[in-house]
Amino acid sequence: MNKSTRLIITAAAMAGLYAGSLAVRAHAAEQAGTPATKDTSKDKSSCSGKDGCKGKDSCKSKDGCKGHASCKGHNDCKGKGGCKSGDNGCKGKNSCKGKGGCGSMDQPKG
Amino acid sequence: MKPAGSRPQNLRALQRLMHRAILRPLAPGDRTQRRWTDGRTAREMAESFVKANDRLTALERLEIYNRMYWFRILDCLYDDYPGLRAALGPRRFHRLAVAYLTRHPSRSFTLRNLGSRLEAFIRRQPRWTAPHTALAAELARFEWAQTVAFDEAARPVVTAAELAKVAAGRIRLALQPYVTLLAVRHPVDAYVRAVKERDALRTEASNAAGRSRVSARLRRVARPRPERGWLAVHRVDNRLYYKRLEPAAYRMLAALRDGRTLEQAVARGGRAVTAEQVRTWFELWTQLGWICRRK
Repeated sequence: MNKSTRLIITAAAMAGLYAGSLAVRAHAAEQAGTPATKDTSKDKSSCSGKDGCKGKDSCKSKDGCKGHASCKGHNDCKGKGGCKSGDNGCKGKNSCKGKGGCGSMDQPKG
Repeated sequence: MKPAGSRPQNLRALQRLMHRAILRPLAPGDRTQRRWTDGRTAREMAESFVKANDRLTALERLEIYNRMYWFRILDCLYDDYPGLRAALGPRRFHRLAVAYLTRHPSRSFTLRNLGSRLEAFIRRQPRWTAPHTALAAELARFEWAQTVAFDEAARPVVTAAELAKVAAGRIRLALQPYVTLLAVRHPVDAYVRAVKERDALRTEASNAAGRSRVSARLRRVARPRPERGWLAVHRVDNRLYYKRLEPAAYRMLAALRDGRTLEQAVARGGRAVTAEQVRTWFELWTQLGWICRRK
């Protein structure tokens, strides 16, 4: 690319930058590409993010996540055979409640 | 727990022992390994620092924590890597996940970072993914990019007033930290989307009354054949997107990301690009909020 062509292309890039910075952003989503999921409920704003925010402490900081029901389940072990032993392990550490596994002196906090 | 004594070093030693016990990989059957690292039985080791009670032995109490750690972190990888899981199959994915998490246990305050080294691990230890290592590494990179797009910080976008202050050729811009550019050798975007749609259909079908009629179509998504592509993984209004890019557009964006001046970046596009193409691309990227000030 020679110098004059580069200057023309750079000027075009600047024109695009100006136009984009002044444009209404609402229309941009139409050209944003393919949504990662079809279901709009499975996005950051709803705290479900990519595939759910299980185990994602980071979702706590998102406005859309505060107090959202889908943020529950951080301790969820479903799908991992965690319930096989019959210790109600699907609720994670809290499963030991009532079993004496976490005596009142050393009850886990998280 | 048995009392550790009042001295801080005793507490530190107890914490380290508990940490090692919790992070130790599970034995078959998802149980705590029956031998400790020094050859003692796990029961002996557990009894050295955990109290039994009237219902559970010391080892059983310790096992609750050991299992919970592994169930939780495996669950996180399972959720974050549906494409990789589908490409490898559930058993191989599980073996890969255990090997990876044994080598790279959770070390962050947030489980969001759990998969940050997965691509590198796959490339370094191809035995877990062979003969699909190249695809597996690309899927790991692509799915990690979604984690980044999901919650990486957004910086102030560049404004017209700021653009006016600097000579066009010398201006250095940056890409938003949440935008990841990927040059891939498989159409991982289409594949992962197909897997997610299949999984969603499966969930719907399994919730419906006639679940026995779930078709074979729902059971498997064929692994993608090699096909080069250039992608940006990003978010708009809190929604994740995969955007395919022209190779020239990819090169320009990569140059901006790497700190080149605007003039240097547009030169990376090559001779074939036109001024109109470049104007259109930059307008869209700015509208999408990808272009921001360099720190």
